Amino acid sequence: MADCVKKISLGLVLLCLAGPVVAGDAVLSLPQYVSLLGRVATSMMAVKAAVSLDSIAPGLGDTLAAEIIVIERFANKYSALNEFKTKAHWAETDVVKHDLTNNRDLNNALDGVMEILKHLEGNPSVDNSTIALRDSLHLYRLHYSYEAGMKKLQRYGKKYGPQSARLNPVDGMLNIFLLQYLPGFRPDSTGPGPLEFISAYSSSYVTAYNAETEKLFKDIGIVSALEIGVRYYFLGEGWGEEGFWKGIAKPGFATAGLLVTGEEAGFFKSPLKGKESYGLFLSWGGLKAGYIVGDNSRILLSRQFQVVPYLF
Amino acid sequence: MSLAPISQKWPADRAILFVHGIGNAKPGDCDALINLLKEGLGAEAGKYAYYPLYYDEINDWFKEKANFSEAIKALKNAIKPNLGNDNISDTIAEYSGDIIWPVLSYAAYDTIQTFYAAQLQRMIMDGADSGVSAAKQKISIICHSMGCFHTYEMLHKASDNPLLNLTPDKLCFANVIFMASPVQLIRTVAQKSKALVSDKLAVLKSSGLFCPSKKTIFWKYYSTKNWVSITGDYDPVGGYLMKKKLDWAYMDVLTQKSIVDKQDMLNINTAADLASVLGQALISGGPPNITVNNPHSWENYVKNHQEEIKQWLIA
Repeated sequence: MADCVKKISLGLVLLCLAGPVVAGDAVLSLPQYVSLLGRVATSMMAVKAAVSLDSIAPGLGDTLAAEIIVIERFANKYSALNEFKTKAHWAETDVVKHDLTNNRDLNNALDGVMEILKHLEGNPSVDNSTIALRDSLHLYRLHYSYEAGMKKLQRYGKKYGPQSARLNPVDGMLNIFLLQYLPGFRPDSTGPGPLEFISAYSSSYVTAYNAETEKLFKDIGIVSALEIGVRYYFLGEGWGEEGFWKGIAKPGFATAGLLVTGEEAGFFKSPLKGKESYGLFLSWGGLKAGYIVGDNSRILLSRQFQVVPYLF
Repeated sequence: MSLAPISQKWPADRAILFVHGIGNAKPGDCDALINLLKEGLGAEAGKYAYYPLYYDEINDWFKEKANFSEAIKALKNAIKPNLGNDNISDTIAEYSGDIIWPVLSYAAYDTIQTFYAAQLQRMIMDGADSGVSAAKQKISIICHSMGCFHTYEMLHKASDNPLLNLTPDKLCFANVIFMASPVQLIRTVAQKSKALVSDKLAVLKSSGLFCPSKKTIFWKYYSTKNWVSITGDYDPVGGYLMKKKLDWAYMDVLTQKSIVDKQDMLNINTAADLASVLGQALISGGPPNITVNNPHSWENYVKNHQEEIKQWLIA
C-alpha cells in the first residue's frame, strides 16, 4: 500500500513538473529558468522521499541530495539575479547561458538528475512524464550549447573567415602552425585567440612634410614601409560587422607595431634601402596611421588593402 | 558568415548525417550519393531526414587566409619552374589543404569540430521540433575518407566534453558507418610528427583507437550501437595497398564490424570479360574499352552495400 502511494505521488510530482515544460521550446526567460530549476530541485526531493534510491544503487540517495543542493544553489542565484533585474530593469540572461554552457557543477548535477529520471522510466506510473521532463531539460541545455557553438563559429569566422584580414604566405604559416601554441594566439574553449602576428610590406602610406627640411619628398607623397606587429581581433558581438560607419565605430581588428621606412620615398620602394627610419604604426580597422621618429619625423596615413593580392 | 547547420523537419523518428571527404565539396554535391542511398532504401527512404555536412568552406577560409595557393605555387616554382600550368597549384592547395589544416592547425580542426557539433545539436532539436523525443531519435552517420577522421574526432569530443550535451548517454548513434577510413593512417603519421600536431587530437590517445563511451551510475553507454568500417583491398586511404592490408594504416577498432571489399583495378578480370571487351571493340571498330576503377569512390561503397546499409538503418 505504502509503495503504491509512493509511486502515485512520484507520478503526480513528475507529471506536474513535465506539464509546463514543452519539448522544443528554444528559449526560456530568466524567470522561467528560475522556476524550472526550482521545480526540478523540489521535485527531486520528492523523488528522494518517495523512492528507495539506495536499493537501486548504494549511495544514490546521497548523490541525489548533493545534486539537489547544487541545483538549488543555482536556482537561488538566478532568483537573486531576477530580483535585481526587476529592480534595475536590466535584462541579464547571459549568466544563465554562461552557467549552462560552461559550469561543470551545474551540468553534472543536471546530468545526474537526468540519469536518475531515465532509470525511473520503467516505472509504469511515471513513464511519460519522466521522458518529457528529461527531454525538456536536455533540449534547453542543448539549445544553449548550440547557441554557444554558433557564437564560437562566428568568432572563428571573424579571425579566419572571408572578411578577416589576409596574411602573406609566410605570416599565414607562422600564425596558423607555429604561434597557435602561444597564449593569446591559440584557441580556447570559446574560440580563436585574438592575436595575430603580422610582418607586412605596405606601399600605400601617404605623408605630408616640410619641403624645406626634406630632401627627398615634396609636400605630399607616397611612402613604402615595412610593418612588424600584432593584430588584435575584436571577437565580441557587434564588432567587425560590414558597413562603413560600423567599420569605423566597431572594426573587426586593430593593429600596432614597428614601422620601418627607407631613404627613398615612393610607390614600391624598398624600406630597407639606404638609411632606414623607424617609428610606430597603429591601425583601427582599415584606417592606419604611423609616426616616424628622428630627423625625418613625420606622420603617415594609410588604409588597409592589398595592392598585390595575396602578397602586400 | 554563410556557414550554418542545415535544419529541416523530420518525416519520422530517424535521420542520417553524411560527412564527405577531401575535395571541393559544395552544397548539393552529396545529392547523387543520397539518391543512391534512397534507391537502396526503397519504400523506407521517405522515413529519413537527410543531412549532408558541407564543411569544406572552413578549409577554404584557412586556404585563403594564409594564401596557401600562393605558397604552393612558390614551392612548386622553387622545385621545378616549368612544371606546368598554375591551375595545378590550386588543385594541390585544395586537396592537400583539406588534410593539412585540420591535422596541423588546431584552429581549423576546432572550427570544423564546432560546426560538426552544431549540426548534430541542430539535428536533435529538429527531431524534437518534429515531435520525436530526443530519447527516441535514431541518428546515423555515413562518412567517407577525411570525413571519417572528422567523425572519429567528433565522437570523442562529444564523449569527452559534457558541455556539448552530446555525451553517449544523451546521444547514442544508431549506426556510424566509416567508408575508406584514414583514421589509423593519420594516427600513425601524427605520432611520427608529434611536434607539429596538436596533442588534443583523439587519434593520438595513448589507448589507441576505440569507440568512446560514458559510464554513469547505472549504465555504460557507447557512442554507437553499430560501428562499421568498410574499405576496399585496393584502397590505400582505407589501409590496403594492392590487396595487402597495412596494419599501420587500417582502422581496426575493437568493437567495429569490418568489411573489406574485393576490388578490381580494371573492368577486365576474367577471360569472359576480356572476350566481351574485344568483341565490343570489333563490333564498334574502335579501341577496346578498358577502364580503371576508382577504388576510393564513395558512391561505389554505397552501391556495393545498399542491402546491408538498409538492414543497419532500419534496425
